[in-house]
Amino acid sequence: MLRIIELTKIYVDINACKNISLDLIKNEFFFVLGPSGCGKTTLLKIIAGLVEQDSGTIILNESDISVIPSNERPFNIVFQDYSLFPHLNVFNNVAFGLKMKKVNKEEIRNRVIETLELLKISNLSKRKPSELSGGQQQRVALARAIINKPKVLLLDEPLSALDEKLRFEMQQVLLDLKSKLNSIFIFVTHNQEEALSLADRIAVMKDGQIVQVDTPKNLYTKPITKFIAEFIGEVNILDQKEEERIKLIRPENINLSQVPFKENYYEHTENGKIIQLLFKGNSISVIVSLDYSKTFKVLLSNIIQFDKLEIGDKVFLGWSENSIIYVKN
Amino acid sequence: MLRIKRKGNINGLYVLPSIIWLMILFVIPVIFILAFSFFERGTYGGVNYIFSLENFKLVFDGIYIKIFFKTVLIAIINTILCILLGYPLAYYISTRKSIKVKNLLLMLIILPFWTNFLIRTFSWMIILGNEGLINTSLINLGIINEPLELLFTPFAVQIGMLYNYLPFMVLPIYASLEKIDKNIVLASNDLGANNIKIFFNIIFPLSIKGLFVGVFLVFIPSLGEFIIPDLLGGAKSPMIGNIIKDQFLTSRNWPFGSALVIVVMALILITIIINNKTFKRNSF
Amino acid sequence: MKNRLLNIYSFGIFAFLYLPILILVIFSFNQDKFNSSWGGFSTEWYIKLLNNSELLESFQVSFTIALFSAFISTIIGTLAAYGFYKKSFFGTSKIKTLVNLPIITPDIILGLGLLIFFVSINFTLGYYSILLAHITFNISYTTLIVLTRFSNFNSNIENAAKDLGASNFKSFVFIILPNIFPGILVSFLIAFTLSWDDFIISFFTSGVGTTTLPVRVYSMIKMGVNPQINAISTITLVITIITILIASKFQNISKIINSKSL
Repeated sequence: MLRIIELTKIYVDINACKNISLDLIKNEFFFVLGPSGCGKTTLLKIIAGLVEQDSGTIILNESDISVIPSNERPFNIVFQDYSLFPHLNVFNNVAFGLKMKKVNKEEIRNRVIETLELLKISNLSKRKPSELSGGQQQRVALARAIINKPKVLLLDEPLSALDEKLRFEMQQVLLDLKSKLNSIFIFVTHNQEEALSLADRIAVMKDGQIVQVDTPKNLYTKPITKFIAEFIGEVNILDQKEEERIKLIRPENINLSQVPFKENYYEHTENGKIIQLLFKGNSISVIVSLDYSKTFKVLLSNIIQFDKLEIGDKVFLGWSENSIIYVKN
Repeated sequence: MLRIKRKGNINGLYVLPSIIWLMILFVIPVIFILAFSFFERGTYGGVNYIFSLENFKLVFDGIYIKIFFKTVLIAIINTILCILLGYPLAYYISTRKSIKVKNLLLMLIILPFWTNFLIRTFSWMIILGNEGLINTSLINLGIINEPLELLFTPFAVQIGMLYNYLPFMVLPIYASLEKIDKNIVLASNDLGANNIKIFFNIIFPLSIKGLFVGVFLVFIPSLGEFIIPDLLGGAKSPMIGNIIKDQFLTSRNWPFGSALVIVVMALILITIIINNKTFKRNSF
Repeated sequence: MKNRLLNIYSFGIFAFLYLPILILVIFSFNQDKFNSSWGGFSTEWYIKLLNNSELLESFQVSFTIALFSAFISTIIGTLAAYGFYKKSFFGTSKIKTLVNLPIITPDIILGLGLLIFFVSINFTLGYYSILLAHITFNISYTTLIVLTRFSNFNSNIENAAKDLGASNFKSFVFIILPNIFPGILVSFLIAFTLSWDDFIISFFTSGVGTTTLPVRVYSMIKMGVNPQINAISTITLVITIITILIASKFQNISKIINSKSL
């Protein structure tokens, strides 16, 4: 169990991290999600011990490791740019951590072979990083980290640089490791899709502070702030007159019809004209302009039903009261 | 809330050896020169550690001022010659199409840059001497009867300086030419400018930075030059460097020699300031 | 048309740059004593060199000083470059200026300053005063060269090493050093060349008993033109050129000069 208590780091006059507190447990994919510059990478580096915090504590299984330097912490990090050692081949890159711990040669050999096999890169053992593709480099970076059986595994934007297919493969690799490794997993990313698909819990970070920690489902259906609602998924703003009670609704929760709804079928209705229509394959994204210069985005999943929609069509929108999300600013 | 203080920042330690070394063997010696320029010359060539401005008064005496002027003049001529002859060469190299050719030509310019000044100056002695290559060939061809006095003339000094300093001007100009975005040239071509216009309005102005660096690398060391006037100019056209050398090794008047060095350093400083100011005004 | 002119001109300049050296080299093989008429191919001047004990001694002096000064200045320079690369200490830019000053200071000032300094502290002028002087000017160059190597360096790999359990020292030895090694090699070679070819500073700091090769050549020149000078000059040139060519295999030398000048 890893406890982070009121971690603060200030760079000149920017609050990179402000009173960050988190509790993390084993065998859980924990994501720190936030836009670029929110401080998430700094947080990662502080946990790894590569950056020194200005104040705050880090406790691992009841022992305070706040002042322990990075090379003595049982944590390992997979960098966004992999940072493989260019002058060493794959075998030696992966073996490095064990070599630093003065493990004997025989054991190093066995563990390296085992780890390479686990990540399916045994055939790359003798190659140098410059001879590897991006996806291969990442596996080597992962192998190099997990071979040390770290108590905490930190991953910085692990899927961002990968194409669709590789992303899927890597997701499988990571899920496989989840059960095998017995570590705490902390991911950092700006990509909300990535977080939503893999995370058990997500901490949303903005301007150096944690705004909300919750499961993906709860973050999506019950965001606390407007920022989170807009950052994860899309929303339409219904009413933001009251700062503490902004009304939002998600595009997929608005129902669209080319004829008026039955009376009182939906608690809320509007009508307007279609000004944009985007066919997305398995859904249609429609932008509707309401009579008084407001626009709504509606997501329709029944493409057959809405096959004949055109720009300029007059349409009717309706939604129920309980699909409204209330957030604060 | 816990205030943490880990091991102190030891990064400064790595530069320490170099700083200490340069302090002791560079900064302090230069300070010594400054100090000595204010001392009196002792009897039999020693030094009297008494404060005196005599040395500087002597510097501004007629003979020495003349030599300073001559030195500056030679340095200016040298710089101008280097620019006139060096710029086209830099332009030529930067307009070669193949990178391999560029690198080869660059290497050819750089090689002399690294070899021994003395040797390269000596090679001109063989060429210009009374029994040297030029004279012997001209006599053998019957063009002249008596050897031309080429060596030990201001002309020889100027040639020697040009020969030694040309690479120092070519390289920075080349570097600044390389930095010009080729697309600008293409764009102006596209907008109708012919080659000459492009050169004078775009390429030359953008390469001025290289010229300033070249002036820096040529003019300033030229001021302190003494090998070339010594070997190629003989006693006839000394530069201030020769006088300084004599003060230290022959006349044994170290205080006066130091004062001369200080004045040269002042000249250099002035050049740097003028160079920087003019450059700032011209940069965009 | 303009291109042809430029071609001819450039060829002319290259000829201007190389002919004098070529003449010098060619006439080192001249049977005739004078550097004007060709008397046939001969290596007699080189053989005479081998019997010239003073010259051989100077050769040894220059060579050993070049080796030692290159070695020591490379170590000091590498450490300094590493320190600058880390960048996080007080007064970085002022110290950087200090390290760069010797490069733009004319040799005559460096040489005379050291002469005055050594004599004032009663340090005997000789082998060691020359060695100390050479290390001094070499430090600026070695620092600059290794620093250029660091600019291509992915600093995150040092973080990776620490994360994997390496102490500062181990990460320097196992990760940093191997990756900047070409830079260290180049700076050694260039420091060697600078020391090997130095005349002015050696001239002022050598005193009476010890003579480096360039200083010896200078006194030979002062005594009159002599093909032995051609011969020793040729050998000196060859050593310099070979060293530079080896160095250029490891790092693009022109890039160093470009970064230094701009």
